[in-house]
Amino acid sequence: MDFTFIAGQLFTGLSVASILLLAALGLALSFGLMRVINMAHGEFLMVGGYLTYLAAQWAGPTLGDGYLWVAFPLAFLGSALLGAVMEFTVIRRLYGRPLDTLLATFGISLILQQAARHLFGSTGVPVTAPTWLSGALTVGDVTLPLVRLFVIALALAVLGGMWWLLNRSRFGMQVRAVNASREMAAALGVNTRALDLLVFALGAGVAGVAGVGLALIAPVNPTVGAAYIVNAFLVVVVGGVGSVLGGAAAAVLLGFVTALAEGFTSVSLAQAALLLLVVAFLQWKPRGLIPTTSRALEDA
Amino acid sequence: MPSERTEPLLDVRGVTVAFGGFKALTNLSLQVPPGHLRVLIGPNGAGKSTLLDTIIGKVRPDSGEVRFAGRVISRLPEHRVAGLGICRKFQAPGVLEGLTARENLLLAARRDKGVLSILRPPTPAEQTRADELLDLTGLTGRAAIPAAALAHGEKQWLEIGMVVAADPRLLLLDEPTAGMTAQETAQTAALIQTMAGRHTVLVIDHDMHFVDLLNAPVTVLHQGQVFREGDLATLRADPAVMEIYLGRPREAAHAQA
Amino acid sequence: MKPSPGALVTLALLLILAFAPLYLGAYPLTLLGRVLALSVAAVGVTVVWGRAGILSLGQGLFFGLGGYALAMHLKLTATPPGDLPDFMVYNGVERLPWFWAPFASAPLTLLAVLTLPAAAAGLVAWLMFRRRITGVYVSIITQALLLAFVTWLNGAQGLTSGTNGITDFQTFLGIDLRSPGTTRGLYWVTLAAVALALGGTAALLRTPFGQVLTAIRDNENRTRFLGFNPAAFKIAAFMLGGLLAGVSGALYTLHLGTISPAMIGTAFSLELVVWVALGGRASLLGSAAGLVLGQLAKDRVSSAAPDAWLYVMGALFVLVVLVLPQGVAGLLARRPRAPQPPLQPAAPSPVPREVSDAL
Ligand SMILES: Nc1ncnc2c1ncn2[C@@H]1O[C@H](COP(=O)(O)OP(=O)(O)OP(=O)(O)O)[C@@H](O)[C@H]1O
Ligand SMILES: [Mg+2]
Repeated sequence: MDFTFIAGQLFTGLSVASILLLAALGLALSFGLMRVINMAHGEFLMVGGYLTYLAAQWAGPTLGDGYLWVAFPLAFLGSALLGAVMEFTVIRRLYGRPLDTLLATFGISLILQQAARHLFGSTGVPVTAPTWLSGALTVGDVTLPLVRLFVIALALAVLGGMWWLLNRSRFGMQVRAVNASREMAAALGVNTRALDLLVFALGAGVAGVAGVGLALIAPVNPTVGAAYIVNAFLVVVVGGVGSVLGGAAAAVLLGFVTALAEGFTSVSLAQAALLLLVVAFLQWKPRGLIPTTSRALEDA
Repeated sequence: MPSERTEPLLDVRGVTVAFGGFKALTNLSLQVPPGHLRVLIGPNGAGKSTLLDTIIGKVRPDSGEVRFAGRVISRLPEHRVAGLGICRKFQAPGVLEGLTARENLLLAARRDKGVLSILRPPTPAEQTRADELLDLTGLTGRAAIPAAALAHGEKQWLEIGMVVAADPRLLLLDEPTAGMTAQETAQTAALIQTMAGRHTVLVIDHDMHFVDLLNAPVTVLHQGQVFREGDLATLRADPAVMEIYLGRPREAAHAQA
Repeated sequence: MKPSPGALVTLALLLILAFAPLYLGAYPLTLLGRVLALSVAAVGVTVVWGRAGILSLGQGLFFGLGGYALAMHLKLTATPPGDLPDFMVYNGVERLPWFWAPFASAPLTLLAVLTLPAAAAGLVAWLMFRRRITGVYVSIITQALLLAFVTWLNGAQGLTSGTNGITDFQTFLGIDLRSPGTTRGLYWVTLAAVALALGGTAALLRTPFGQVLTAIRDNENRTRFLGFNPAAFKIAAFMLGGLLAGVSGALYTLHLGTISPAMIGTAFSLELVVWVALGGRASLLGSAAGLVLGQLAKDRVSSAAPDAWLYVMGALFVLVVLVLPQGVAGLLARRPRAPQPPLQPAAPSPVPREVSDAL
């Protein structure tokens, strides 16, 4: 295998990792805070993708390439709103029953996928990336498509924003307080219910933004979220519950491993091997790369 | 072991437990001879529960070791430790909510707890024992309902019954009288005293009236170390003990952390 | 011991079902036999999830192992001696892969159906429970493993026939699978398997083994400190679930005359769970009946309005969990002996994890 090939695979892996990371961020947030596994999280990605498609349809003719700047807020707010509704109607009724939440959200995911099939058909709808993203950068012999570079930059920007929000803002302080001890935070005047809602919506919104990136790379179809969700879960599991840094490391790791493995074996074998690898990894570190040590997480 | 009479049954040797940078136990040593009753007191956060956690294998010591009947147990899995005859009553009532009171007692009473030997139905002896304990704890009328439906006080009693049913060599009780009425507290104290002798018992409690009733040697824990040992009357007269309980402002803040 | 009302109802139902070949037409009988075969797997889910509290989303893996084990044998029997199965020829495979060889023998195949899924389940369980992986992690890992298996089946065309699955069977143990008499015989064999699964599991759960599983589900730490090793019990429960799924998969393959990756995937595994939830996750009869009735309903609705079916399924997941957590069986039970999972709809905080933390 020559260097160019491997470098190209690594680059593709990095862009896949970017989307994975954005998808996993929301999962990790709500899992860390509420012990909730949201099987419908992939559908936020899908919704973000379809909203990008709609933005291109509506705003494309008048704004041209500028539709992208409509797509971002639309995808974020659309997914966040959907997340908020879900949290309010279903998830908060199931607090303390993580397995039941998993099943209920799986049902929601089925409904959302089928709704997408109804509205948009089961084949993918294409979104044309803006012209300024259509080229590629060449470094030595390696071609780096601009769209993929853009997706990586997007992930970095969102990651930076999230880091700031969690570590530097008042909102983040409250989130960390609830993470450490829900009772104590509540006693200190944090409105934990409202915070749960906000965090869940935020995670959904970030997934929506990931959906924009996804739409630029490949056509959007009803199962696009389902395709990403298992790997996004693995990122959370490998990274360590509730750890943004661990999640980022795990996403990059998984992205690389998949991309490299795909270079050497068939796609399906690489996927199967990756899943087995993760299970093996958990034998070594059952609590992920960066385990969170908090008394409240003991019985996760 | 021929020298078991003179050797302590429970021998905690220089145990240190750290959570992150914080040392919950610092080079702590404690011996309890067989058949003795020992009371453990100390302010909140002194490390009393952590000590019990370490004995039963829930928490692994960073250094030092715990010996039971001469054998190092601080590296055994929890169920093996329990199998040696160490039984703990937790601070929060820990009954098996999905089973009836009687089933709780029957499971606690059985000796063989392997995945295959569990298929054996309870022996007549175990059944009799369970019924006796239902009687003793006043739960005979409530024997067949799921433990989840019992009142808080009833759960406490059921758990005490389970501990007795298990007939352990070493019994660890973490605040057994929390939430009990004065009369129940006295009953519990009497029960514990009848168990001492045949069993070795280590009791944690904050209720000085209860400790008084137990009439046993007391160990004071403070900041993860043994602070004093003696009988309650002497300790009460000790200004240093008073001080750690009432605390100077600085230390009170520290103990909360 | 006095038989419980549940046992009496089960017995009566089995008796009525035993005479089904006398009063049902050919198609309804095939359909009934098919869903009864699936209900064996549902009984396994009750043990693993309803009793031991382990939500496996990968039962399709063990179901598939049982199904494929039998399918390989049937395929080899349907292939003239010395030849390779047709799909291998199309894919340019020149020698019979090593793992196919034992399946030429019928006794070995039957042995494999009974041991392979259980052993695989045991291995998976050992890997997870040894490291105390619990709760949603187990669900995700089992789903990931199933996905890995299905992906491999799909990808390894020459070894597994890929997405087409294995099909075109002719005889089993010398019996022609296509004769009408076989349908009836197979139905009775299936019903016997259901009866055995229900009876055997019920008997097992009546022993203290069942109590320890319940204890582990409700409070694993407490059970551990009572001297039981939760990992060993969970592995045993998981193996039983795997065994039942494997038997179910083999029977289902016989009924359908084919097995393919699409039949055992995530959708299948989740459907299994939702019917069990609807019937009553803690009740053996409830979950078996839930599966049978659910699949029969699916057969009706999905042929009339295939699009609507997914909405129905989705809504069922949400509604069962929100409104009927103990399923129909929980609703019918006069004295709710089955303990409710901690429900606190409007509690200000998710208490259970703090309470269990106190242990
Ligand atoms: N798993 C853990 N992770 C982090 N810190 C812990 C853990 N367990 C105990 N601690 C800390 O160790 C210290 C000792 O706690 P411990 O529960 O042993 O105190 P205690 O003497 O039993 O107090 P109380 O009388 O309130 O029950 C406390 O500061 C506590 O916060
Ligand atoms: Mg304590």
